[in-house]
Amino acid sequence: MDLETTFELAITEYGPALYGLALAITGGVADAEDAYQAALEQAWQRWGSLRKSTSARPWLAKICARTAIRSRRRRLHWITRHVDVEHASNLGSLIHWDPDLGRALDQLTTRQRAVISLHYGQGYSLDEVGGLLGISGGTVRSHLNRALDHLRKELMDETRP
Amino acid sequence: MKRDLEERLKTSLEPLMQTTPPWRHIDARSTRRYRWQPVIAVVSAIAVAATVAAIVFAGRLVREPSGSGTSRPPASGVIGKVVLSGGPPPGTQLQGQRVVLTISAAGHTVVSKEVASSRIVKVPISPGTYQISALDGSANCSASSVQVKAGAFTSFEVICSIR
Repeated sequence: MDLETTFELAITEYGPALYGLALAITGGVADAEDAYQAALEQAWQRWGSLRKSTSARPWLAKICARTAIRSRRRRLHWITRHVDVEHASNLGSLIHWDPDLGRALDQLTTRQRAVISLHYGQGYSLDEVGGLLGISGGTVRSHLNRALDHLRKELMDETRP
Repeated sequence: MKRDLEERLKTSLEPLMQTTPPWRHIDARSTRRYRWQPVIAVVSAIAVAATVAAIVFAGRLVREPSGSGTSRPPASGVIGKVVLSGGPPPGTQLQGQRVVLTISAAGHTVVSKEVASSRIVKVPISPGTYQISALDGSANCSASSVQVKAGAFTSFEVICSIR
């Protein structure tokens, strides 16, 4: 199979997961679309260099997660300058089946959301998440623990009368 | 509590990870970059090769600063000075006056260069036997013979007597 065909097959298989990852990290449809598109461009440019022994799924997730983090940070920078931070993310409506959790996720930092999304959403181990995001396993655990503490606190507040 | 939260995260995030992208994924490959990808790759490869070649060439020039660029300068030669002295009593020694130093071998001039009298000059030349003399309109200069050996600079002194 040529490069185009293998790339098309890989994106057909992993595209929804990549787009979902971009959604979870950026918290917005427009940003997620931009990040997803940019990630696919990057992935295609480097597709030929992907070794056969390397699995395409984590390789693509790495590109997508990092692109989404960059996109999210750029957006946050713009938002804090021009509009209310409240509109920075809208996971509350994206995860409409659990809006409370979505709103709580909105409060997390970009890196924390990336860790949560890759670990719980995509099932990567914490060490794998570290490899994908280019940070150590210890740092991943630290992000995760802080994120879980924050989520727990936010969700408990919401259940209080 | 922690397990409940983790289960809730899994349950809520997994459906999000199955969201279909709102356009055909093929978009990424129909960009200008993609169409020009082979050209960009070739141009990049040529640019990288040219840069590497330039660095290698520059490195050689630095290591071999002689004019030829391909052969190393001989680590041998002569080192010494031309002394201008004498004249009517009580006599004098002129320093810094320009004289022409000539180095010849078997009757052929190998090096001819203007130097300042009483200043040390260092002339790299290949091993061999040379005649060293100086030319000055107002002085008679003696010629001296030197034997230059490989890997060493042989000292010389040319005395010019001012008329």
